Amino acid sequence: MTDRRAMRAGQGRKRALGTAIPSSAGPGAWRARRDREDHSRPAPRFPQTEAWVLKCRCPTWASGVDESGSPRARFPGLNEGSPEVRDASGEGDIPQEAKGHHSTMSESGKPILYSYFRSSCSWRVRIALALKSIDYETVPINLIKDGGQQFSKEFQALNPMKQVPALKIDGITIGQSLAIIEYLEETRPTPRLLPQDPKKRVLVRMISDLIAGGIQPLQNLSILKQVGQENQLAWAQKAINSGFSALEQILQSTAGKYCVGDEVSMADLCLVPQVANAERYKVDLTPYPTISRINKALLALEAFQVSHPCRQPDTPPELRA
Amino acid sequence: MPVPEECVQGEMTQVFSKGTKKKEKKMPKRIPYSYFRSSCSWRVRITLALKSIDYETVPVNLIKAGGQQFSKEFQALNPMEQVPALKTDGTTIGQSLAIIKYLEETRPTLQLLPQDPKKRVLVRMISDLIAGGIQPLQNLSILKQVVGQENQLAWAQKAINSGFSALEQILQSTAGKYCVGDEVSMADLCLVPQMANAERYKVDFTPYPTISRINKVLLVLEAFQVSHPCGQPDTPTELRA
Repeated sequence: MTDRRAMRAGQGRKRALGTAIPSSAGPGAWRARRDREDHSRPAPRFPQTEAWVLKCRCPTWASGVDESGSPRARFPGLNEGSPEVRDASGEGDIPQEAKGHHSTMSESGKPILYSYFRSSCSWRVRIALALKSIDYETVPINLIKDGGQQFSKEFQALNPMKQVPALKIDGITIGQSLAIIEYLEETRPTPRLLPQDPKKRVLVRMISDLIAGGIQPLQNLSILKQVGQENQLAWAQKAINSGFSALEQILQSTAGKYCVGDEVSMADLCLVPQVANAERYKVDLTPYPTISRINKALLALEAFQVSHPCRQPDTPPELRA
Repeated sequence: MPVPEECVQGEMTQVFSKGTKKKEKKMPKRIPYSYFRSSCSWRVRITLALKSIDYETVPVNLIKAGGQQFSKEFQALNPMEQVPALKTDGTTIGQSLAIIKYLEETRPTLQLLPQDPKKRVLVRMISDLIAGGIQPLQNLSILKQVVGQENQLAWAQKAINSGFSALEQILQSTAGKYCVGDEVSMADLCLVPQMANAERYKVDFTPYPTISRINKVLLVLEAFQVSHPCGQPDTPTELRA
């Protein structure tokens, strides 16, 4: 096992978000990494909280070498391949060599995804990145800790909407999950997430918008905070049931193996995270057999697994798969 | 507000009544189901006007008789029980931005999305901010769940202010004459109706000079005028321009 894997095996499961890099990482490993980094850009500062820059090594594209120079093996299982963690704020208990480390761009210029493990909107983009085999780094934004890291000045400068996901790619930073996905679709078109036929494309977009605009915003954390704790569950369930009733009916005429026909599309990327939200809010899925069937088929796919909330760099240990 | 009976009945007869026979006429190709005051419907009406697409509106009154969008007939057309819906090319589509993008792909004259992907994404981002991040939160169906009229106003204002603060900031870097550069885009189609909602809910626009400026220049354009809520088939007399 490499030093990093040993660290992970011993420490990863115990390490909660924001805690220090274990000393077993060793100053040597940090120096080697630092020397390879691009220092031309200033690190984002999140003074209120630590922000960790994590490399997400998705099994679908794992390659290259580790610090010892050994070829990095393709991940045999989904629970391996844990992140390297760098503290972008310079605070927290991390090795001296790593402080002030510049984290906006990896040494290879990878896109950076600002994400929360449990955010359904972030999950949509993670699935898209996985399906398109796009290597990226994750900056976790904890929506709850410290009043919500999305409200920090630094994050607001990146994304005025103060929401995740946001994606820094090709020199721009984009918010809004579906806008991000359509951008990825246009610039990295394989595999397709939108059918070529306009009449099928509109169905994919209609279903995606039904979920992303018609359900999720209504049961978003920021809305639930406004309705009072005793009303939150009922409110969320109502929003989801209302949308799922419509969706179940629509799927009768559009669905094949997946939401629209037999190819995975942007609609499927929206469906699975929304079903996860539904489960979280204890929605009875019995009235939605088509939604349930499609959800089950999609969850078997690797892209939906590697991007799953239970396997993210910022997934708390108690929720980790 | 009461809608003139002849307006509702006439249009309703055309679609929903199987028994009553009006003079047979050839149905136009495109039928938007619309409510005069619905901002989502207005987005689609602007698009149809900009692209010079002929259409015939079927009004769906969201308030009368508990809301005509909940009728069995309309639900069969659009399970989401919302306007707008567009019957076109042998299919009925819901969700305003999905409709607009379909029209963009099938009737590409007068493009509403830039060619450059980096500008297209800005248009989509702004459109989604409004269509997914503001409007659904101050939608009629949501406000009905907020108890108390004064709470409803505060709720709507909060949703709009929250979104407009972000939008104003984004427009600093994207806007030219319009939301993204100097060409009218899908983002502008979302902005104007949302501004109308903001006015309706008495939002103070002082913090949003860029939004206000762009709204003003867009309202001068013919497509935004002919599609305006004050001039629709179902606009109540007292609100008609």
